[in-house]
Amino acid sequence: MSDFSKASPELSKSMRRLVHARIWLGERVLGNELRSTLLWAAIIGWVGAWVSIGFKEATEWLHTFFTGSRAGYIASFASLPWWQRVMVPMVGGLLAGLTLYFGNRIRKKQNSTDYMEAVVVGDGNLSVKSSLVKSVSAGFSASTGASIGREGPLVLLAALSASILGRWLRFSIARKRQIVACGAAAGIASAYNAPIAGAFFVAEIVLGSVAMEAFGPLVISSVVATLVTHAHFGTEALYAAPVFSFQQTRELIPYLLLGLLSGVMAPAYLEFLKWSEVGFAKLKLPDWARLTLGGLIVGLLAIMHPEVTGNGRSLVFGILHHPGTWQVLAVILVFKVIATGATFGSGAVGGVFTPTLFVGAAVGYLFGVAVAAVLPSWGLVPGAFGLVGMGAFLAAATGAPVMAIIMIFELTLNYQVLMPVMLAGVVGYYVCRSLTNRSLYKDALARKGAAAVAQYLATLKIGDLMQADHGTISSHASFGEIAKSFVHNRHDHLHVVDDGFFKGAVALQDIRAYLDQPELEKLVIAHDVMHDDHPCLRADMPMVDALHFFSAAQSERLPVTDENSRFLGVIGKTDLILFLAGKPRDVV
Amino acid sequence: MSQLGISGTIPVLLEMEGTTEEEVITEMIRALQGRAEVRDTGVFEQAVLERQKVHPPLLGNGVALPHARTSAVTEMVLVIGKCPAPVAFGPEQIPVKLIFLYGVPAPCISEYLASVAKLTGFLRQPGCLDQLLMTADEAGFRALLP
Repeated sequence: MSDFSKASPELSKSMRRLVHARIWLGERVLGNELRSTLLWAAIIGWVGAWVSIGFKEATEWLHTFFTGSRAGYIASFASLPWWQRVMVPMVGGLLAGLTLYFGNRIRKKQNSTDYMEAVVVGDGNLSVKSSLVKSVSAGFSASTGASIGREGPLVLLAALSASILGRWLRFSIARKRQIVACGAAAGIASAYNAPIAGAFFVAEIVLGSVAMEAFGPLVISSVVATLVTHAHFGTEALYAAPVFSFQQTRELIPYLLLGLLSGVMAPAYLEFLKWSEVGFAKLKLPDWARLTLGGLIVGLLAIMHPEVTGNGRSLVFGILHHPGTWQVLAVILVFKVIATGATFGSGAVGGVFTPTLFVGAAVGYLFGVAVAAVLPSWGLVPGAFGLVGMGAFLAAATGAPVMAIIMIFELTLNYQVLMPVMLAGVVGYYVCRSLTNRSLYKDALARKGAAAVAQYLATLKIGDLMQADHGTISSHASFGEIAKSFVHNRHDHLHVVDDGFFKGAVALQDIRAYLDQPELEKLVIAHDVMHDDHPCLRADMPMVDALHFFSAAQSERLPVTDENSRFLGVIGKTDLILFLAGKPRDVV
Repeated sequence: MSQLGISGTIPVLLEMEGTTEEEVITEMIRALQGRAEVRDTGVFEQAVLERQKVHPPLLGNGVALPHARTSAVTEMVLVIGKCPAPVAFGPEQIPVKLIFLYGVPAPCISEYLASVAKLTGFLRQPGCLDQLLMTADEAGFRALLP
C-alpha cells in the first residue's frame, strides 16, 4: 500500500534532470542577463571589427584609384602635380557632397545617424540608409585627402551592425543602446588598435558612465575587435614611439606647464572648428557645393604643404620620429588646423580625433623645443613632449581624460609615458573645462538636438522600458508545471498572474532543492509557494525609483502593473541599469 | 523542534469522528484551538477549505495533505488525523484514511516545502504507512514520526 514510487509523477526523470541542468547553468553561466549581454558584446566586437576592416580596405582602394598611388596620403599628394593636389580633394568633396545630397533626398524618414546620438540620447535604432549614405560619403572624403579622421564612419558602421542585430533580436531599448555602444567601442578599438581606450571612449564620451554593468560589455567588445584587427593588420602599435624615458622628478614641471598650455589651446581649437562650421553654414550652399568648397581649400593648402591631407596620422608619426625643424612644423600646424576646419566645417562626414592628436603632438613638440632651449642642461627631448602633448590636448578637447591617458599608452605601448600624460592630461582637462563647457563631441551631440531627446528620455517611465512576459503561470499551476516553466524561461522568478492580475512570484531558489521529490507534484501548486509580497513596479513610475525595488527584491527582473494591479509586463534589472548608466548625466 | 520543522507537540487524532472532507478538516483545526501559534481557527479553516477547492493535495494510497498559507497562524503548525473509515476527498471522491493538515504563515515557503519533502520522504519508506495506520496509541504514533 505504501509504495508511493508507483504513482506516476507529472515530471519525468529527464525533465527533472533538465531542470537541474537549467539551475546549474543559470547559477554558473546564464543566470544573469548581463552575462548574455557579454556574449552578444563579443559577437558585436567580431562583426564590428570586420566591418571596420572592410571600410578601411575600401578607403585604401579608393585612395589608390584617385591618386594612382598606394603610398600614404602625404606621399601620394607630394607626388602629384599642383593641379591634381587641388582637384583630388575637390572631386572627393563633390562626390561626398553629392552622396549626401541624393542620399538625403531618397531618405524618407529622418532617423538617428550619429552613433553617439543613437547611444546617448536615442533608442539604439540607427537608420540603415542614413548610415550607409554617410559612410559612403565619408569614404569619398577620407580617400581623397580630406583632413578628417576615419573613426567616425568606422564607429558608425560598427554601431549600425550592432543596431541591426539588436533590432533583429528584439532587444529592449536599454539593451539595444548598450550593444550599439559595444559596436561603437569595437569601431574605435579596431580603428586605433586600442581595446582599453575604445571601451573608455564610449564609456566616458558616449555613455557618460563607467558603471560595470555598462563598461564590462564594452571591454569585451573592444578586446574581440582588437584581436580580429590584430589578426588582419598585425599587432604593431599605431604610433610606435621611440623609447620615452622619464628620469627625474623635476621633468614633471614642464609637463605640468604643457598641460596648462593644452588646456588653454584646446578651447581655441574647439572655437575655431565651431567658427568654421558656422561660417560654412552662413554660405547657405547645398551639401555638394559646401563639401566641394571644403575640398578646394584643402587642395589649395596642399599645393604648398601636402602634409595637410589625410587624417594626420603620418604627421604624428613624423613628430615622434623625424620631426624636422620647428619652424616647418609650426607652419604645417597652422595649415593643418585650417584644413581640418575647412573639412569639418564644410560638413564632411568623419571624425576629428586623429587631426586633434596631431594638433596636440605639434603643440607639445613646439613647447618641448622652447623648454629645451630655455633649460638645455635638463636634457629634455622635444619628441617626448609631442607624445605627452597628444594626451593632454586630447583630454582637454574631448573632455575624457581617462580615455586620453589610456589611448596614448595604447597608441605608443610606452609605459614610461603614463605618469607625465596623466599629470598633463588631468591639468589640461580641468583648465579647458574652466574656460569652456564645449568639447569635441558635446558639440556634435548639441548639433544633433541632444537636449530635446534628453528631455524626452527624462520623461520616460518604467512602462516605456517594459517588455512582455511570456512565461507567466497561473496560481493553480502544479509543481510540475512550475518546474517546466523554469526550464523554458531562464529566469530566477516566475510571475503568477490570474485573470490578468498580478498575484505574486515563485522563486527558483525556493523550489530547487525539492525537484527530485515527485510526490510534491501532486501536493503543491504555485499558490502554495508564491511570494505574494513580491515587489512590483507601477508602469507610471520614474526609472530611478525602480532601483530601490530591485535592491530589495534580489531579482533580475520585476513585474510591472497598472494602478489596479493589472499585470502589464516585466522590466529587467540589467536593462534598467544600462538605461540609467547610459543616460546623460544632467538628466538623471 | 521536530524534523518536520514543527515546534511544540503535533496533535494526533487517531479516531476522528468526521465523515466528510469538511468535517474532518474542521475537526483537525479545532484540535489546534488555544494554541499560541493559531490566531484565528475560523480564518484558518476557511483558508484550508478554499485551498481544497482549487486542487486537493492528495498523495495517493489514502493520504491527504490539506494545507493553507494564511496569516491566521504565526508559525507552521501540523495536525495529524486518522479516519476509522475512508473519507472521500476532492471532486473525484478519493478515499482518504490518513490526513496531515498544515497551517503555514505566508512567508514560510521554504520551511513548508522542507517539511512536506521530509514527510513524503518518510511516508515513501516501505511499510511506514502501514505501521502508521496500524498504530492505535498516540505515543506510539508520535514515536514513528521523523
